[in-house]
Amino acid sequence: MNIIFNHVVVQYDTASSPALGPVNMVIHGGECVLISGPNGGGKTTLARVLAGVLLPVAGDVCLSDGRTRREWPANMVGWLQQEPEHQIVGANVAEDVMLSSLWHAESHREALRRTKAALVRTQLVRMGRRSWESLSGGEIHAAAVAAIIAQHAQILMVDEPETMLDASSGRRIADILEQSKRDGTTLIIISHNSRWVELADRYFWIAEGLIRELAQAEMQELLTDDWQRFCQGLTQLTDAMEPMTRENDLCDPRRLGQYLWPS
Amino acid sequence: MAIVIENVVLPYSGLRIPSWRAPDRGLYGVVGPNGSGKSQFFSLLYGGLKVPTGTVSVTARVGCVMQHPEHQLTESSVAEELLWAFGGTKHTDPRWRRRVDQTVARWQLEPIWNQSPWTLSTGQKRRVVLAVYDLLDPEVLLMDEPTEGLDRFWRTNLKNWLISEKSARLILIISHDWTWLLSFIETGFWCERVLDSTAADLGRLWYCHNQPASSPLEELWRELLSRNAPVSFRGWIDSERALQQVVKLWNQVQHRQIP
Amino acid sequence: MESSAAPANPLVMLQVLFLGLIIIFITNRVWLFGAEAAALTAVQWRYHIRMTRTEALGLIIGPGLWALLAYVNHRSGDVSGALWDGFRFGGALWLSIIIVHLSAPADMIQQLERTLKKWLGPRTIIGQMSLIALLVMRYIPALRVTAKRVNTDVRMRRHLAGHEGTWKDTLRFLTPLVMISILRSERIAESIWARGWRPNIIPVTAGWSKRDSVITAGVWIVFLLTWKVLI
Repeated sequence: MNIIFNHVVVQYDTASSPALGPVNMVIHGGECVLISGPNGGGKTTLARVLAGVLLPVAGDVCLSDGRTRREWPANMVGWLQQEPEHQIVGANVAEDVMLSSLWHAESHREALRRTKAALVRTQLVRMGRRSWESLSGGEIHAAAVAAIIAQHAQILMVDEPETMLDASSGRRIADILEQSKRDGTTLIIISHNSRWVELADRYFWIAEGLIRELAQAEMQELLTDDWQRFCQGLTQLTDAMEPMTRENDLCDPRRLGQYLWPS
Repeated sequence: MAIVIENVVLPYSGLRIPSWRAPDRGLYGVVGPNGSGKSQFFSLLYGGLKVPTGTVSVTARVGCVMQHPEHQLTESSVAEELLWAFGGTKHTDPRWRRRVDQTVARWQLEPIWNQSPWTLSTGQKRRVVLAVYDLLDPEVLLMDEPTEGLDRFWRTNLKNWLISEKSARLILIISHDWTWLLSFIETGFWCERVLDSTAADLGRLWYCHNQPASSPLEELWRELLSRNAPVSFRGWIDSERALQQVVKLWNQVQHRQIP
Repeated sequence: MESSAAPANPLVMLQVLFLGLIIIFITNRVWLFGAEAAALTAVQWRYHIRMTRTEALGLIIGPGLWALLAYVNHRSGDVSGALWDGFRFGGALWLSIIIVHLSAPADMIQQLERTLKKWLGPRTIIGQMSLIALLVMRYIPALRVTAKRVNTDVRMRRHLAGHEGTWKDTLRFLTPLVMISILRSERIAESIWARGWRPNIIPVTAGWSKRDSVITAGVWIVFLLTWKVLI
């Protein structure tokens, strides 16, 4: 199911220029889209429009069958917010994860099954009975992701999923997202981090409320300036490293490492 | 020793602190996986957490910049926020005035001086809290994820300020931003189930513990280090340093191969 | 999960709670109270319910306070009457704790909502009530954490400034509490909406078994009997 942005404009009362838009774009069903851009450029505004909590002043977001945002199924979009502690509602982890499926599953048994599956997938089974107060930042993040999985959303939208996470928690979120993509979920990742470039199929840049599509190489360059600079530096040192740059794929850190110090 | 902790086990995270004595001054990282009890350890130091067993003795003046600036803003303007703790007594002292002016300039609070802290962005809020504790001049300053919400410009500013404060007080920093930490901090305490009682080289801690890489350069460095290549633990934190070390490495390989 | 551990449908548990409280409160014979206590012990033992420290403490302090209040308020200072009141209050508390352990309050509310909606049609008001209940459950602990952190910060700052606190310090937590409440309630309402809550949606709840009917009938019979005998 494609998502069609039809001349979407968002403007806050006090501002003189629109916070977002006009945005015209199409996100295809099952696609993974990476959206990046400077702070305050309109990334989170776009997320709020898609989540249905902010109505554009002009235009609409439609599905390919013509349903406008108001007519989408209520659990269509799963939204992992930048500060997930605000999206936890239940008193303990299992209760919160189950919430959405209580509203949308066919039966209570099905809701229980979904909850269990989501907890298993996020490795939170042992924490089911823990109250949210006793969770650390990373665990709250994982619990919020579990709740979205149990929601069975067809569109998964994550806003800066890697902030405040250590490497292995970040890896866990990445694994879950990859799995969702394989399952055919439409994935929208909002981030500054270059780790998502490989997972994504298309790339968008939002600045000052305007959105434009980028090629993978452009996005890679905008996000991983350090690695890019390092690779460019290597290729410029051709007199010393000529054989290496000739023979090797510079983009693969593993192989580069093996080549630099064969043991 | 201004802070001594013996035989403490923290609730929920289950972090054990067999014996921890605070260094007198300097910059230290407190690093470890999510949920290992780092923030709780800080609460223990600033008196926000009581434990039933073990001994906790804190005689130093401790200040803490918490993870959420919202928990540290109580007044209706940035000016009041900065000054209320001192009461009205010091205002006529010119030396005090100068100190306040310096702090305001350092954290660039002039343009928001009369605004309500609640109208500010996350980064601005954090700067206000940083300024508050800068002015309060604690002997031990704790910082929990201080770079969160700060842009590149302010990350660098914060780093430079911390370096200049190195010999004035003890500063402990929790952060997951390894490149930022490694760019100016020598040593840190590892926190995973047990809090290390001695500080270890932060570069070594990064290599020994933090498995999956978050950038290609980091991945390259892990690969090189795991092959025992002679590169430094911190070589990957910026591209220039990395490039220099790789060139050196390459030259060594070339010489080794000449019979 | 809470609900899978529950011995019966949440709606049954809600009725047991409601009727049980009345039964305990109107008890006026020692042997009957003994029987009730034995029943509670049996349920607690059967379902392996382990009280938290706060609950256990509340179970001791609450009835004590209740008895004290009853004693103070009684004109002639009737000690045994006060103790009796304390015991019955303790019994009521005990029952509530056991029920909450057996069936999550959220489940009971959802079930009640569904049942009511079945009778009244999908009106929005009950959905909103359940939303408020959800928010309250999430809110009170969150606000407590915030207030605690703010107070710690205020104390820390006063200590660092070497300045004695003023009476106003104890109230400083109010501003952040109000501001955070406003910001948070907006955000939570938004996130609940994004997670698929709509005022007209009826939540699914655990099915109703034959056993549920039997237990319900049993509770009502006991209730009516007690009512008949005692009043």
